[in-house]
Amino acid sequence: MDGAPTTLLDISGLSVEFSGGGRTARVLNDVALTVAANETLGIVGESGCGKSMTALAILRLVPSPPGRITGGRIVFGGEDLLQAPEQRLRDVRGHRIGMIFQEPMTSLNPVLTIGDQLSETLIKHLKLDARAARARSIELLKAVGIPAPERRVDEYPHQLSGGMRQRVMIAMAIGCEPQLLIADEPTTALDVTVQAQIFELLRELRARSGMGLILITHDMGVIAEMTDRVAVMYGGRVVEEAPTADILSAPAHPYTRGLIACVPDLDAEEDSGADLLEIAGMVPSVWDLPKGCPFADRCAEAMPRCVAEMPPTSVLSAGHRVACWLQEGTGP
Amino acid sequence: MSVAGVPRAERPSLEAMRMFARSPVAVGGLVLLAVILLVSLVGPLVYVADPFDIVAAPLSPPFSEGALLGSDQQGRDVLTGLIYGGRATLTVGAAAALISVVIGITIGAVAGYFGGTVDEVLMRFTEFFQVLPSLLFAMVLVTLFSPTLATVVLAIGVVSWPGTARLTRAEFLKIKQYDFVAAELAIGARRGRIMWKVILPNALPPLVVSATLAVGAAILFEASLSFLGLGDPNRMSWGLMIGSSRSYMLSSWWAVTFPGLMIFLTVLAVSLIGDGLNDALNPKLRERR
Repeated sequence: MDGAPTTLLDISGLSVEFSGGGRTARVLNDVALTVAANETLGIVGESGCGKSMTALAILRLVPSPPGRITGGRIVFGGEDLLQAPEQRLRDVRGHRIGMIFQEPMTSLNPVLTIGDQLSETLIKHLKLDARAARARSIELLKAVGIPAPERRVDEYPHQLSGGMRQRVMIAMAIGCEPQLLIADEPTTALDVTVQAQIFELLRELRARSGMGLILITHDMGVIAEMTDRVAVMYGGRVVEEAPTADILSAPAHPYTRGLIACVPDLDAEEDSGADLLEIAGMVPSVWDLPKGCPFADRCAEAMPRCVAEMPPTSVLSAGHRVACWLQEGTGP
Repeated sequence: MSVAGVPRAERPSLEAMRMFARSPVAVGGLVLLAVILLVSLVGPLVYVADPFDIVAAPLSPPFSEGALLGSDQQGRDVLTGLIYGGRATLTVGAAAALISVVIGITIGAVAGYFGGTVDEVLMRFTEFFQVLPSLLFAMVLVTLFSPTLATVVLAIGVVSWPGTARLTRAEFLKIKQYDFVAAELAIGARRGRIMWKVILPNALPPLVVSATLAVGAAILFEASLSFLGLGDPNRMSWGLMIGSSRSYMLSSWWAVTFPGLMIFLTVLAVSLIGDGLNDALNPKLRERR
C-alpha cells in the first residue's frame, strides 16, 4: 500500500465457526482488514453478515462453547492476539482496545453507579487509587459532554437517557486512552439528533487522540460522513474494501451498489415518484451458506458461475479490492 | 440542588425499601417476626427458668397454678417452653437456610456461568439431591450422627439447597447474556469478578426472596424432625414440645397447640416478609406502582 500510515491492526484469514446440533456454521470466512492509527475504518453490511462477530473476534470475545476462532491472524501492535495468553488479552481489552456496544440501554450494569463503572477500568488498567479514579471519571464524563459530571458520577444508569448512557459507554471505552476504538453500531438505538452528536463526539475524540477507529454500521450515510475506508461484509466475508470516496463513486460489487441505492436521497431535485429501492431476498443463513458467492441468489447480475464457485478477490486500484466474478481480471 | 430538573440520585436498594415499607402485609410480617425474635432472644434473659423443670401436675390445663398455658405430660410449663424453645427453632431456621443458600448459590452460579459439561455435571448432582425425599434423607443424616443442634442444621441445609441452585443457575444463564456482561469482558475483567461482582448482584432480588422463604421452610423442617423425635433432646424447641406431647394431642390440646401456633406464626411472618420483598425487588411491579 502507500506505506505512509502505521498499521495498527492487521487481520488476515480470520475464520470463526459456530457449531451446534451436529452442524457447523462458518460465521466468518477468511476475513482480512487493516486499520491504521488516526484512521476510521467502516464495516458495513446487513444484520447477520458478521460485522459484530468480527469486532468480538478482535478482542477474542467470540462466545464459546458454540463459537470458535478456527484460523487467521489478528496482529495488533506487532502481536498476534489469537496466540496471546488470556492474561495478556485482559490487559489489551479496555486498555489498548476500547469497545462501544450497540445497546447503551443494556450495556451498563444497573446495580453500579456510573462512577463505579468508569473507575473500574481506570483502577484495573491504570492502577489509579479510588480517589484518583473518581476524579478522572468526572473528567471523562466532562470530555464526552455530560453536563454536571460531578453529580452524574454518582447516579445509576437508569437515571440517564439513552444518549447519555452511550456517552458514558464511550467515556468507559476511551478511559485508558486506547490505540484502537471499536464502535459497534453505536447509534442504532438512539434518536437521529442524538446520533449526530455521538458521531461528532467520536470524530472529535479520534482527531484529538490519533487512535484508530472501527465503526460498524449498516448505514451508508454514516459511512460517507465518518469513514476513511470501508469494508463491505456479506455472508461472513469481506466482499469489497476500498477508500470511502472510491466506494461511493465507483462501487464494484453488486451488493455495495445495492446498499448505496437503498439510501433515500433527501436532496432529490424533483419528486420522481420512485419507490425506495431494496435488495430483494434475505441474507443467507450462516448454517446454510451456498458453495459459491453468498450474494448470488439475490444478485441481479448473477451468472451460473457465481452459484458454483466462490469468486476470487481482484484488486481494482490501490486499496480497492472486490470479490466478484464480474470484476475478475478488470484490475490494473 | 445545583442542577435543576435532575431527580435526586437514589440507590435501587433504597427504592426497594420504600416499596417494602409501603406494603401493610409485609410490614405486618416484619413486626410479627420482630416480636417473636424479641420474645425468643430477650425473653429467657428476663424470665429466668429451666424449661425442663417440673412445675405443675402433668397435663394441667391452662390457667392452672404455676402453669399459665398448662403443662405437658411431665409437668413442664408450656409457656416457659415457648419462651425458651424459640431460640433453638429460630437458630436452626436461620443457620440451615444460610447453609442451603450458600451451597445453592455456589453450585448454581458455577453451573450457570460456565455452562457445558460443568453445568451438566453439577445439575445431575443437584437432581440427585432433588429426587431424594428430603425429610427421609435428613432423618438418615441425623440418625447417622448424633442428634445435636449442629447436625440438625447441617442435615437441613444439605438437603434443601437444590431449589436455590436451580434458581441461581437460571438467573446466571439469563444475566450472562446481557450486554453489560459483554461490556465487562471487553474492559478486561476476570471471571471471578464477573461472576460475583457483576452477575450475582443483578441476580440477587429473586435469591433474597428465596432465601427468606428458605428460613420458613427450615423452621418447618426442624419441627418435623423434632416431632419425629430426631431433634436435639437436650435443647427445648417448639418442635420438640409438639413431638414429646403428640400422644396426648386429643386429651391435652394445649401442650401441642401453643408451640404449633408459634411455628405457624413464625413461618407466616417470614413468608409475608418474603412476599413483600418479592414485590419490592421485582422491577416490573415497581414500575407499575
